[in-house]
Amino acid sequence: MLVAEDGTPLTAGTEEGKIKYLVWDLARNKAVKHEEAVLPALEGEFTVEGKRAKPVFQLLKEKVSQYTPEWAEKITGIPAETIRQVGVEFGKTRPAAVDCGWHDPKYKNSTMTWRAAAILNALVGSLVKDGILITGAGSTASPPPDVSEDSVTRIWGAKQGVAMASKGFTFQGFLDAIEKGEPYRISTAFLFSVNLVLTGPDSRRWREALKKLEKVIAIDIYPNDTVLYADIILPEHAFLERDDPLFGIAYAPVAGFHTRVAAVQPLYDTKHVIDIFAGITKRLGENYYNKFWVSFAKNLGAADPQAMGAKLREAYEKHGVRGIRMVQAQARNIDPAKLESEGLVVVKDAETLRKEMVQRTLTGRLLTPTGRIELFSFALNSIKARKGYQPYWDPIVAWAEPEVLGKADGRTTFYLIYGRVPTMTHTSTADEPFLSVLTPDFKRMAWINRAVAESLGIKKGDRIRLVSVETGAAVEAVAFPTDLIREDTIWVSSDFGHESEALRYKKFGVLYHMLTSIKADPVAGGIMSQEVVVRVEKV
Amino acid sequence: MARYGMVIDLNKCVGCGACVMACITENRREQALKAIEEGLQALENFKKRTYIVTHIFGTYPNVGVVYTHMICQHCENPPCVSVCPTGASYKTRDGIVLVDKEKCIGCEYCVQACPYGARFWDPYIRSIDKCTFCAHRLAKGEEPACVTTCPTGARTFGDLDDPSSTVSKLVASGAAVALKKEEGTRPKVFYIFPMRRR
Repeated sequence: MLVAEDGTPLTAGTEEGKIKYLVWDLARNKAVKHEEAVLPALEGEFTVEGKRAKPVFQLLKEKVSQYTPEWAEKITGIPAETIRQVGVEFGKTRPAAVDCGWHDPKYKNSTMTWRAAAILNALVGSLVKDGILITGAGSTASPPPDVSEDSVTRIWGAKQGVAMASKGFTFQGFLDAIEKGEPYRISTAFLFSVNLVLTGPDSRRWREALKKLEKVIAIDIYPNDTVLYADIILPEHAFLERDDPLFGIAYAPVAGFHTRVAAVQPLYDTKHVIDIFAGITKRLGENYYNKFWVSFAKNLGAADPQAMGAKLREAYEKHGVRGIRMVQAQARNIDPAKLESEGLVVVKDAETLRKEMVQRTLTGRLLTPTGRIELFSFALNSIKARKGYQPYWDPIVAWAEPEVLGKADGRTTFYLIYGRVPTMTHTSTADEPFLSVLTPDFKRMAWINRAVAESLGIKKGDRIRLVSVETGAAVEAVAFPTDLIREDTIWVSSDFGHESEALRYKKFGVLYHMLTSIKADPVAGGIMSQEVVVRVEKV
Repeated sequence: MARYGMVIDLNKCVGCGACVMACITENRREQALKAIEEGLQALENFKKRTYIVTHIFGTYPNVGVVYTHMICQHCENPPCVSVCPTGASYKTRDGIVLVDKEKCIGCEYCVQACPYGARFWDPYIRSIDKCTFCAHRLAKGEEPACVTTCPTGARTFGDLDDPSSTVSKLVASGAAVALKKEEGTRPKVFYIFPMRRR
């Protein structure tokens, strides 16, 4: 695709509702529509109707030429020679792929980091191939819709300058609403399976904020730290006790649907979350109850939410949540008996799906505006058009600095990071008896480089204090000196250290989010959970 | 008659413990429920038929992590059987080493004799306990629970006398090797050791 000097992709107008983008055809020495090109130019500079333009690959080449291994060595500490060697190995190995991220931005530049990785995958042909990355490129999923203009999250995000504020990803905005009444005061919070006082950024503030609300209503299956702040607790069925609606299969290279079928009777007086909301809206009156079903239908993507809402309501009133599932299954021609006995129905197996994705790629039917794998980001380009150029939304790729860069010396100050261990999630495994003890203690400790720990007189098992350089907040942790971590970095696991006395099998951890602060990354508004530098003190 | 064996590829292990958990739910469910009822300390002390040990090696930045697996090796020449004074420890015709808890007097000679640390006293059933290769599942034509559960396929199970089985091929290729050969126990669990990581 050709991009003009002003950053605009060149087009040949619209055909059948689709914009036709131009490429330079070396065979005919002129700009043509992509599908007509015999030999599309990857490099060079061309003039099209008086405008100077370059292929995207040329722009990428020019952009990355400044990012040499020697340049990267100064930032990462990884020897230039090693970087060069890895580059050569990656370029020569097939299949090869780099994980291009899935988490909300942990750093100010996370979007660009993952973009760089995705571009590498595209360059070595690893986006739609057997045995490598197949998610994303062939996806038919639509981007999430905008939230209401009155949404606290949207208004807060816009105020912070978040480019995608309209998507409402910025839940941290609720703090200002609770504490200062900005943009307006909220009195009640419904918390559904969310552990804000443990996993919300600057969790000290969430603890105080929840106390200020008139009502906090928590729907959960665990008495976790956040539930303890609730005025009303609505206990939900645990997963073995519940019938669920139909869900699309995620995180697997197949297309299909799955559900949960209640395996045991509920042990206690609990309800399904749908029973809870249907029950509340019914008590509020017919108008609310009807709206609940219509919006339920909307969320399921119904073409006619009114009609589908009525159908769902009728089925629910007859058969409960199982009724909802039956309506969904019927709409998709899925045999409900097979679904309920097997728990899942695969509509397209991995092989069929891959073939389809490859076909979709080859015939230009991907979700990009050109229908093809594009290195150029139209989404970031439109942000650039609205807000001016910033490396954080470069439509090609650019190095953009994280906030913490250069602020940790590896002697007294350290970058703070967290990661997963296979036996724990943030919250839902905290009270699982066996997972609790199958997680070795060293995975609950704060990892500090062995040589650094020695220089600080810190031994395995010593209690240390991590103090946020930015906010002064401090938490205690147990030290694990190890060679697995860089000299300038401290690692903790994402168990995050539960405190709730009501959890019987919890073990120690690190209250990580006491040390984070309220931030929003410039693109999506993520909490930037690793933009944290700490001091380490021996207790 | 089969001669059952297992190959554990340590290159594939991610240390998730799914095999340990699958074994507990398949074979020691009642004991586990009692331990859960007793609380965290009982769970900490709960013995496992198979377990994983993490090894961290090297000096930053050239470091690595290896997970090793312990499980009864179902030896051809099992010292635990020969030292048992009551005949509680025995070998089946399929070569699986088992314990008859009715005959076990808890003398723990076998625990001492096993060079692999694969046996333990189970206070809940008041007998020595150990891996059975899920003999009850094999009888139904199923593989051991740990094998079917492993998300990375690190454990492979099959008949060592069948030259076409994956386990036979791995052992014949020399990739999978036995532990503590010098003990003369002739184990039927084999390990593929991690490739050197930089």
